[in-house]
Amino acid sequence: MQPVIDVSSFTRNQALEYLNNFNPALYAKTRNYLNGHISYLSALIKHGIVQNREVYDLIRNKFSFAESEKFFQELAWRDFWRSYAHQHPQSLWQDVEDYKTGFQASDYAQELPEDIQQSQTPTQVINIFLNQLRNTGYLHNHARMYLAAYIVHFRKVKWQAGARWFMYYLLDGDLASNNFSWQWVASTFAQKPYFFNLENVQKYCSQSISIIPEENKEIDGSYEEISARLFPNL
Amino acid sequence: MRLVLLYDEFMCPPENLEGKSIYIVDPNLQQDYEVSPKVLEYRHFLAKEVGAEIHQGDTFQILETIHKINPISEIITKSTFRTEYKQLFEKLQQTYQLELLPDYFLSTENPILPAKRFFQYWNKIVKQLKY
Repeated sequence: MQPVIDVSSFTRNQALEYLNNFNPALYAKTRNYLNGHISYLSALIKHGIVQNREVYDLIRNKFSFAESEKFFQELAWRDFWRSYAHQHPQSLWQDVEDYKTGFQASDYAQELPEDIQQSQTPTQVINIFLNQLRNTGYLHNHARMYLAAYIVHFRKVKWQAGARWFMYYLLDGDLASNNFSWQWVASTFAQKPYFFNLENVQKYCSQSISIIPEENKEIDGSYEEISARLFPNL
Repeated sequence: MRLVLLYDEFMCPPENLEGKSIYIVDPNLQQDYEVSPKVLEYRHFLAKEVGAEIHQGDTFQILETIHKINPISEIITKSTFRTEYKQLFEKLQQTYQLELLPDYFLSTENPILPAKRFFQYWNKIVKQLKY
C-alpha cells in the first residue's frame, strides 16, 4: 500500500496546484477512509513550506465556511497542540494527565516489542501499516491512530516509546502534534482512551488494503468485548 | 550579511525576505529522539529546493566561522516551543542581531491560548476564522 502522493518529493508548487483541486466538503465526508480525499500537506506544513494560514486563505477564496469548517478544524488541531506546547514544553514527553484505562503508567512497558519493530505482529493490518511507515515515512492519520492504539492499549507499551518511534520515521513528524496525539490516544491528554476493532478497520481501509479476518483475530470483537479485554479494571 | 537560519520547522524563507539561507544539520539540536536517514534526506531535499547552503555540525561554531569570513549583520529565523532551539536563539542573541519571526498559526490574533481540550481552543479561535 502506497500513499496516492509521494510525500517525500511533494513540492510547494505541486501542493498549491493540488490545493486548487482540493474540495474541503469532500474531505469532510471521506477523510477517515484510507483512500479518502485528503490534502497530503502535513510534511510541508511541518517544515514551514506551506503555512496553515496560507491554506486557510486559499480555501476561503473558493468555498463557504460551512463547507470548509471540518478541514479548518483539522488544521486547528495542529495549532491546539502547538499552543499547548508553547505553554507546557515539559509535557511533550511527560503524561499530561493520568491514564484513564484502569492502569498506572508503571503498568506499561518502556520499550517497543521486537515484533512491532520488525512488522511481525500477530495482526496483519498492523503489519501493513508498520511496513508503510518504515518504507514511505508517511501514514494516513487513521492508520496512525490504529497503530498508536494497538501499541498502547493492545500491547501495553508506554506512549513515549511509540511517539519516539513515529518521530524517527515520519517525514511530517511534528513534536507537538505527534506526541500530544499519542497522549490523546493513550488517554493521558483526553477523557478516555481511543481504541478500535477489526470492523472499523474494514469499514475505512478495505478499499485500499486486502484484509484477511483470520489474520486479525487480536483486534476482532465488538467494542464492548474489546473494551472489557483491554481495560478490565474499568 | 543577512542570514536566514533554516531549521526543520522553517525550511522555506518568506517570499519577501532577503538574505542568504543556511541549513545546519546540528546533532545537538536533535535531542530526545532520532530521525531516520530518509527524514534527513527529505530535509536535505527541501533545503536544496530553496537554494540553501547546507552544513553539518554545531550551529554556533559554524556561524562563528562564517562570521569571520563574511560578517553577519543579522540572523533571521522562526520562533518555536522547542527548548533546545529557544536556548540556541538566546545564545545567538548574545552575539548577533537576531530577528525571530512569529511561529506559524492558523489564527493571527493570540493563537497561544489556555485550553486543555481541543474544542475549548476551537471555540476561542473560530470567531476569527468565520466568514
